[in-house]
Amino acid sequence: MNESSRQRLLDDAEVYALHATTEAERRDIETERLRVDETARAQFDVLVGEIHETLALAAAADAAPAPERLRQRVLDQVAVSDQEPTVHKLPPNVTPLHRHRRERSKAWRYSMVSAAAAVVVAVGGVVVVSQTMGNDAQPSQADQIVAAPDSRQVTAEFPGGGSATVAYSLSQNAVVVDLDGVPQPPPGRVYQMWFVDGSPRSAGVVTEDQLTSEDGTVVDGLGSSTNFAFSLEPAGGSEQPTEVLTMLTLGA
Amino acid sequence: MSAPLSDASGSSDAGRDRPTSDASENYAAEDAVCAVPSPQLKNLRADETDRLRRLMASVAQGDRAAFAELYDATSSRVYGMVLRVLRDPGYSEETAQEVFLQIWRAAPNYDPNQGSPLAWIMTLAHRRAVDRVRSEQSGTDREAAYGAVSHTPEHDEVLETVTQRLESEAVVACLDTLTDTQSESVRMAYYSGYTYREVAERLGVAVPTIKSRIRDGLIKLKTCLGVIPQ
Repeated sequence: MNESSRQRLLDDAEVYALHATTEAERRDIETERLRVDETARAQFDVLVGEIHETLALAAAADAAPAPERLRQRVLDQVAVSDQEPTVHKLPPNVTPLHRHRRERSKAWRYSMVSAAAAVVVAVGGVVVVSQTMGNDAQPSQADQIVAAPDSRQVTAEFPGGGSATVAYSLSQNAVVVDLDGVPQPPPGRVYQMWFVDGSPRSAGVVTEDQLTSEDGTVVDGLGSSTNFAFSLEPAGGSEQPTEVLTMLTLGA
Repeated sequence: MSAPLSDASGSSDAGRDRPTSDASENYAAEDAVCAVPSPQLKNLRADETDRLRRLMASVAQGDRAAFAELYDATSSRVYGMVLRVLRDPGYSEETAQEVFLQIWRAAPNYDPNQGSPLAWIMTLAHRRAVDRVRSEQSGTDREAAYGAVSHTPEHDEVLETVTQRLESEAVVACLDTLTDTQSESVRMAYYSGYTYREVAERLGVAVPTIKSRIRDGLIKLKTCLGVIPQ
């Protein structure tokens, strides 16, 4: 990131907060926000947040009574409307996965071996080591996907920095998604994943845990998808992608 | 050239040394008397925020009775702001209805760390109102939207609480600390649905000038109202 992109982003904080931009400008600002470093991003978020707090207080001066019938209309509608699932919880087809990450698995195994070795020293028994290693031998679903004979792996850069790696296997009918260094989405927005086979099909929203964790995520239902995409959506996710950030091609 | 923002309150503005094109008007009203919120208003405000946070937490769990309370606590502000932007009561009623349905649906994903419930609600409402005014109204229809502060005759009757009455008085006093050009730019950008480039064009002013007027106006308003980061 250079200084001028930081300045440009902060210079747009007010018009962004006021919704006084075109849709294209708003998208550019949100992309820029993802590109700058964490400090600039935090500065931008604070500026926008403070303006929203200010305007929320200012709304007292514009208050006008809503028509009486509106209350009942709203409550009637709410009575038959479901709420969005919480994005901080895992969607049903997405399961967290522990220690599948291949780049880190070596380091992890090394540290496990060290720990085991430490136990060996302390206890003086080789049995402990074999038990420890034995536990590790149970393959997780992610390990099965990665180890499948038809397993493939693709990686793409995120526009805001970081990258997404998707390991996929037709025979396992699933993918393992691994996000590395991808920044937080703007407030009130989430990353959403999509299987694309002609038309996009939601693969769930990326939860806070998935974004920050070093572990990957298994998503079932690969089907005959030819692409896997990430988009930026309003909180709760969308039925269709509105702003695709990156798309990976899943070769045969 | 650039001038550091001399606003004493804005910790968030530290390090933001952005060029301004019309420094001469930046703080022309610097010495205007600022209606720092009274301790009473600050307490009432904090109480209301606590109450709205509790209501939002219940609504997030699917509590429809809490949602009705949330509606009663915020509907006049949501409807009033939407009406100010759209100016058509029919469109405003429809839009307010959509806003409250969206509040209900998205409540489980409201994150208290990202701001107060009222800011979340009003931001969502403003976004919808702007989308609607842009799709519904022609340019000429929008001309007057940013005009005088909307003190409709029934305004005083509708303020549901003493908090809103005091807050409203503070807002009116604080808007007075802005220069005329700052006030005009902020109002037009916020209420008309115009983009800042359109605002600049309509006022016949350069884009950077409009941006700095908006920025400086908002800093004054924020400072005067005693907005604290949530």
